[in-house]
Amino acid sequence: MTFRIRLLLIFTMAVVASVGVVEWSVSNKTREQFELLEAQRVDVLVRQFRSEYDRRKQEIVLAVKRIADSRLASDIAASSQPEEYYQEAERLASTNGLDCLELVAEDGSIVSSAEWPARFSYKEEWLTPAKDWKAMGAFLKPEELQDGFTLSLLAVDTASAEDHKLYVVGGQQLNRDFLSTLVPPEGMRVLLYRNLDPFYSPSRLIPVSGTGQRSGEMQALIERVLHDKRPMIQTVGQGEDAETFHVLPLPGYEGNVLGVLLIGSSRRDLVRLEATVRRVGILVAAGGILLGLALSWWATIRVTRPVMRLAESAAKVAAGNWGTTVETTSSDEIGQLAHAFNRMTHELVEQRDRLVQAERVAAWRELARRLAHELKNPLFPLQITVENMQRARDNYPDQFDEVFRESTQTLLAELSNLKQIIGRFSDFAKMPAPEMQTVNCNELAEATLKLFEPQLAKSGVEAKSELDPRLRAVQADPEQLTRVLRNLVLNAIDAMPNGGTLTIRTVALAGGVRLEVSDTGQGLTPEECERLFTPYYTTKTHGTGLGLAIVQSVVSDHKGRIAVESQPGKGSTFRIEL
Amino acid sequence: MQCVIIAAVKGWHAVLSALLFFIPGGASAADDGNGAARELARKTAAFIGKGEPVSVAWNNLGSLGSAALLDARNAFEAALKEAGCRISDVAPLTEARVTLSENRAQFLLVEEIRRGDERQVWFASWRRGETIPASSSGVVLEKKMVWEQDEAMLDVAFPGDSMVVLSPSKVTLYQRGSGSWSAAASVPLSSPRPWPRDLRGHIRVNAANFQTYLPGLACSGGVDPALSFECKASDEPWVLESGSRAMLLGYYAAGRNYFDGRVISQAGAKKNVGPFYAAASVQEQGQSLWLLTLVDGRTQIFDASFEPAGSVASWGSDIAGTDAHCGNGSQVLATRPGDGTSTDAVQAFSIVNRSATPLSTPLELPGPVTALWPSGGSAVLAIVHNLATGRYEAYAITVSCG
Amino acid sequence: MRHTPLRCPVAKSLAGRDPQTAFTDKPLAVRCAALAVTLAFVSFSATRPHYGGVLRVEMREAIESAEPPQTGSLAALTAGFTISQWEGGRRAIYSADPAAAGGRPFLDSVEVQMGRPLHDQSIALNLGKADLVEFDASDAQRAGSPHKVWSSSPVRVLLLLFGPRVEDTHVREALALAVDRTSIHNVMLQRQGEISGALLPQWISGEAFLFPATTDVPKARSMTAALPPAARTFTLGVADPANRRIADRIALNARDAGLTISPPPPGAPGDVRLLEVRIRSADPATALAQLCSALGLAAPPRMDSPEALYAAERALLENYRVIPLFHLPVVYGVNPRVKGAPGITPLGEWRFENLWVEAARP
Repeated sequence: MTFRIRLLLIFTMAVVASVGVVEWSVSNKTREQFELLEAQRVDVLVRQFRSEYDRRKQEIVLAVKRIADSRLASDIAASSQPEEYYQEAERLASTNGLDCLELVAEDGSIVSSAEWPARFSYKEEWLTPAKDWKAMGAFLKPEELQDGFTLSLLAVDTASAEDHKLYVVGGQQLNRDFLSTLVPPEGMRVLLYRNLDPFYSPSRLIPVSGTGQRSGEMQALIERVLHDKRPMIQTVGQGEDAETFHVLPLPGYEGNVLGVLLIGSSRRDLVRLEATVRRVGILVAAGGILLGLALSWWATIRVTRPVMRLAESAAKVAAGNWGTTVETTSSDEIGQLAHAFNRMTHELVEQRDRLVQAERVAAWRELARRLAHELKNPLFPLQITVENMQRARDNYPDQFDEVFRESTQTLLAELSNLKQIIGRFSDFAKMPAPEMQTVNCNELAEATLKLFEPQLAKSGVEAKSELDPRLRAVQADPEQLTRVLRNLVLNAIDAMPNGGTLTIRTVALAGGVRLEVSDTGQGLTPEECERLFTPYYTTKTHGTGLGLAIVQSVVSDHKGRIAVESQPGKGSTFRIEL
Repeated sequence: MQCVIIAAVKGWHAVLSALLFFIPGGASAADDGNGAARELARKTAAFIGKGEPVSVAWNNLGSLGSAALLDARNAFEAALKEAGCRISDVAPLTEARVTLSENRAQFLLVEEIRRGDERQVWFASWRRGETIPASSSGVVLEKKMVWEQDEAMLDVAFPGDSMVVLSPSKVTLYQRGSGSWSAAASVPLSSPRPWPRDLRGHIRVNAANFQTYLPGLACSGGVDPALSFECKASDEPWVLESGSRAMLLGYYAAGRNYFDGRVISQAGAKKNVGPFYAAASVQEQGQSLWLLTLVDGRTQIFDASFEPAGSVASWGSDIAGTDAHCGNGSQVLATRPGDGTSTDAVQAFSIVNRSATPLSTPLELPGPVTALWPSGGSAVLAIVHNLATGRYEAYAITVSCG
Repeated sequence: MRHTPLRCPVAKSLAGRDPQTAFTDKPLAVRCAALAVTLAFVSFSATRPHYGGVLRVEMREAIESAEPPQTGSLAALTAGFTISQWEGGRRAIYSADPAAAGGRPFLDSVEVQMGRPLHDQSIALNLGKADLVEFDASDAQRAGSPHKVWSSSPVRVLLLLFGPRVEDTHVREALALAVDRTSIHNVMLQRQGEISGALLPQWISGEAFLFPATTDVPKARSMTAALPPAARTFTLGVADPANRRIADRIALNARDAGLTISPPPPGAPGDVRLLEVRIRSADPATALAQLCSALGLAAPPRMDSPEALYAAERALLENYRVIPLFHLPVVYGVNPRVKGAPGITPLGEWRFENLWVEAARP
């Protein structure tokens, strides 16, 4: 993975992570704010309900007191014929804005009832004189009506006349009309359960509509509140249908829970908002990612270009172009690195130059040494021969012709040798540029082995070929490549004086080939491996030491690589990749 | 009296009891409650057996008074005793309850008798009759009842020593004998036209002769030696006297109960004063004034020329002038305003400064006054419909100055 | 005072004449005095009978017939008036008949508005837009009212009539025992009329006291205790919405006895009905026959004696198919400007010939 891609990935991941974090935090924040807002709305609604509830209670207490303080109530209390007033409760209830009103004699018998006129003279057993009804204010109580029970907010006051007392019991029903005064915001609703039956009854829930799907959940909620007698909050349902209920118990005057107020807040908006946030987040993330990618790409390019230039330059340097410099466009670390790189390459170049110079000097010295050594060898016999000829002419004129003949043969052989040596040096010095052609390396390898069959047999070296059939043709100079193979084969033969196995291997690479020449000879030490391709370096006792240098040169001209892998006593493998 | 035992027992006993005790009807009704009670007592005795005790409770649901109930009870107990039974409240086996009841046609004496689970119901009835005398008011202050009868009276007059009573259907002459009036003769009245509602009539006496005025009918007659009476259709004006001196002629509205407003004064002047019910004359400071009770409810004061001179409110529609002069001026008697459904009263007034001044406390009468006519001198004749009895009573009301 | 005679029935009975005036349900001797006392409080602003004027009458019933009816209150008007305008269900005008027996009525005409609810009638009377209106119990008892009240004898029978569905006599009897008539009479009817267990009122038959109306809730409960719920459940229909409250009270009483009563479905008459039947005849046999006809019961065969009448009535009541509750008068509120004797008979029939309206004061 390149630095650019890695950097790109890092940037992208950073962008994605950032967007993800942002979206998560936005989503969280949104939910928090939503729930905070919802809690506020519910709180407002609860306060509104309580305020309305208290206001109604106060209203009822005042209305009942007004009736109790009226002259009519005193007249009724004092009357010995209260049946005359049997219809008064309806009229009083109507004029005082009460849903229910009962005028009850001190013995508990109903004088007049607005909500159930036929119930006169029946006893209200719950209305005991022992209780301080006035101090209780308004309270919840189940009321029996003609068509069933209802829940009412009642207050009790008394009217007195002489020694007689009249109870005034008035109030308002907790019904749909009562709830209609609470106007919940959009997405909220208010329900009231009237606990009038021994067991939960869906019909006691008002408004009844819209609760069918939740009847089971409502029942569980309500039953729990009835049991625990304290408020609770619970979310029911899933997804958009989820609804959070704030449930408040409404106690009666005896402490039992007679009503349960449920304030439901639909989570649809939140869910949709979250979905929207998520969708937007995804879109933003995608856009951000794309933008991030673009920016990353631009950033990485900006960042990596110098680095890549550096890398390219480094590669060039590695490839041998030590004079590579990097354009420095900034003064940041990359710029400094570029500077350093340039300095480095400059120094490398200088060092290389020096080294080259040195190597060249060394090579020249080596060449000179070698040349001197090589030349000295044939030159010494030349000198001796000439001296022999001089001696013979001086000393043995009669033998001079024979000596002259032998000496001239010797001179000619040595001169031929000298020419050969100088020819090799000349060949190495003037290696021609390869002439690229489409070459099948398998064929070359087979041809080379065939060429060396006699010599291999003679040396007792077994030849093997492991040629990859998938090998593709490459662009190469067949002559030079043949030369390379020959040099390597020769070296392998030379490395196995006592026989062994020579293996030529070809491997198809992606975009190239690999040629391997392995032997099972004595192997090379690591130091020898390092210097193996140095011209004139040889481990043999004979030869000029230019063979591998030529091999290296050819490989280099083919823009390939050559390496050696060897261990002492284990043979060597020369690996060429083109 | 029809008396059938109605069985009211349970089961087969009902049939048996009914068969045993059924008595076919056909007996005549009792004449009175006592007879009914006796019959029930006989049945009771037959039911319980001789010598057996029975407790009897009495109940009155009718309009007959406690006296009637007591009479019936006494008769029942006497008959029971005669039959050998006795009444006892000490643990009797048989309990009876006798109820005095009535419907519109008859009185009922109903006995429910119970012995164990056995129950019987017996009825005894008698027709409703005049068993209870009407009560009359006896209290006369400056009034004296001179006659009463069931039929409505229009006027009563006393020509000579007789009494003539004008009723819607007849004129009756009464002669006094043995301290009471007895009818001597009666002449039916037949009008060419149907009498109007709230019929009015007046008798004007002249010694032994009299004239009667009725709507569309004028009659004259005499009582000496016998009642003679002759009528003819006539629309001639009525003579309206006030006291014994003042007089006015007034034309009566056909088919109505008022005078149509055309009057002729004593001086012969003709005037139309508007419809009125009654007229009376008073003297005020030497001047004669006429008071007319108009149909609109006011009592208008007219001067001698029958020019309006004031009005009086709060009087009824019947007034009558008298010759009584208690204080300055003469007195007029006027009824109390009402609608004829309550008792009435007559009060004496004098006119002072063209306004009415009461001179006496109201004289209460037992019913509404249906007619008020001067009867000469200081007296007026008031016909009263007694609300309690339903009879019509004629009172002579005299103004005594005290 | 010139007026139409107000005769006490006792006196009239002594004279052998039929009473022409109307009274309450109290004993006759008491009635006259009571009436006299009552009328002592009436305004004394009228004078002599005044010819002329229009009597404005309002009634609840809307008689939809194309022709004026031959029976009932409107028919009674023809005694002194003739129909001059008839709008079935809405209005009728009767004009004074100059040839009427006893003379032309004082009134020029009687204008009758039909189909008027009780409440509207009361308002019209209070506003002076009506002269004679129908009163209910509470209107009649309202203290301080300037209006007169005319009340007939009890001629309205309020009763429960069972349909064929309720077959168990015990259930019917239980309902009869459960109804708390006293409370209803004292409170809802303001003691108007009388409690009765008989079909015919006491003043007509003289035998109503033989049919006591007892209330025995424990006994009623014991009668229904063994019955299955379905047998104890039925519906109560109300023919006249004005009796709805009484029906509600009956349902409540029934509940105390273990019976479940509910309103019938719309359009259905109900397993038992609270009905009001008007008695149109003072003759007991005729009245009972008319009642049977109105209730859809077979007419009794022979009722020419008190015993036969009692037996007939008893036979009608013994299976509790019919449960009489109350006998009520017809009550009218009368504008103070209307003068004259009560314009209704004991049977509640209109007798307007002797009424007049007070003339306008100048």
